[in-house]
Amino acid sequence: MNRALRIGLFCAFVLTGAAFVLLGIFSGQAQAVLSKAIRVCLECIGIG
Amino acid sequence: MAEVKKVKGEWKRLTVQAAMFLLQNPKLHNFFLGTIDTGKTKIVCAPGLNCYSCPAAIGACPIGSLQNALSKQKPSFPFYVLGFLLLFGALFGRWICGFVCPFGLVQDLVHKIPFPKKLRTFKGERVLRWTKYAVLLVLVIGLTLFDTLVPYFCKYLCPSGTLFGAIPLSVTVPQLRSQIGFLFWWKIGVLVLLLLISLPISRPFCRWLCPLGAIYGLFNRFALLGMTCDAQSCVGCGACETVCPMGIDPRTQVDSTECIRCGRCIRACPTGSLARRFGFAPQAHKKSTM
Repeated sequence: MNRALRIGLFCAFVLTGAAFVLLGIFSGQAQAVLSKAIRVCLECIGIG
Repeated sequence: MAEVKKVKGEWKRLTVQAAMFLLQNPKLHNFFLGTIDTGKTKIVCAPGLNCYSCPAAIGACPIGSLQNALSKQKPSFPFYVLGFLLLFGALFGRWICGFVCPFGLVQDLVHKIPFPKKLRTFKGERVLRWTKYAVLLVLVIGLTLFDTLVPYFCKYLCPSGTLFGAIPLSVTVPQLRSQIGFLFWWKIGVLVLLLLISLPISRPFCRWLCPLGAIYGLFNRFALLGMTCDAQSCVGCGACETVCPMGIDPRTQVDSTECIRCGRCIRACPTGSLARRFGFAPQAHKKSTM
């Protein structure tokens, strides 16, 4: 993979990732992650 | 079936791994209290496979959060979690596996236990490498979308959740302990099996089953943190291949989706042909101590 392509892909994914995080915050997905993470996940611990 | 040989300086990476574990899981007192952290920091996804039901965790598991987003009755495109995965992947690639993931640390520690025969790889292992993509596509995404409300990977497979969440909480919380059934023992069995396999083979979960490693590996070729191999100075001794915990040949697979950027090959190389890459400029090759 040549250097220009590496840089291009890196920048594209970083910008897209940042945009997705911001979009997720404004659409309430961040709160959904928090709501799940602060409760014991019964499936994760083999109970639910 | 060549054995994995020891490399000097491994303690430095273990120190970083331990520090990363404590950074992501600082609330150690919760192990005794039988509670999990409910702080605002859990709005942020941790980079490694760090269960959010681990009492000490202060971040959210990215795979668990992804499954949660997909397992709703009206699943939405998981922008937030995917954004974190893209950022972590583009910046670090599988360096996260080598230095940050808590279950990677556990496997590394178990592999250090003396065992009669240590294996680098075995016949047919290449096929098993593809299983982690099936885990990602089927368990994490497919079945979770198809059968809503059930996070299949977390529920039936994730050993990190079992080790850091299920076991400590079942010990300290009687109400949870009273509800232990087949599923709990199934997960314990999966965990024990993986730890037993970690004795002769390095990082079996990372090689064959980890969906997060499957994702990050796709970024290895163009992540900000990477590795380079100088073919001109390489003398073909194969020392790098012998010490690789993922059973790959760094000379020809330096940007492989399997490389966890642990740096053992760099320390083993007698000519300094291998080096870490930070950024995208051509790197001068010199011996690394990490």
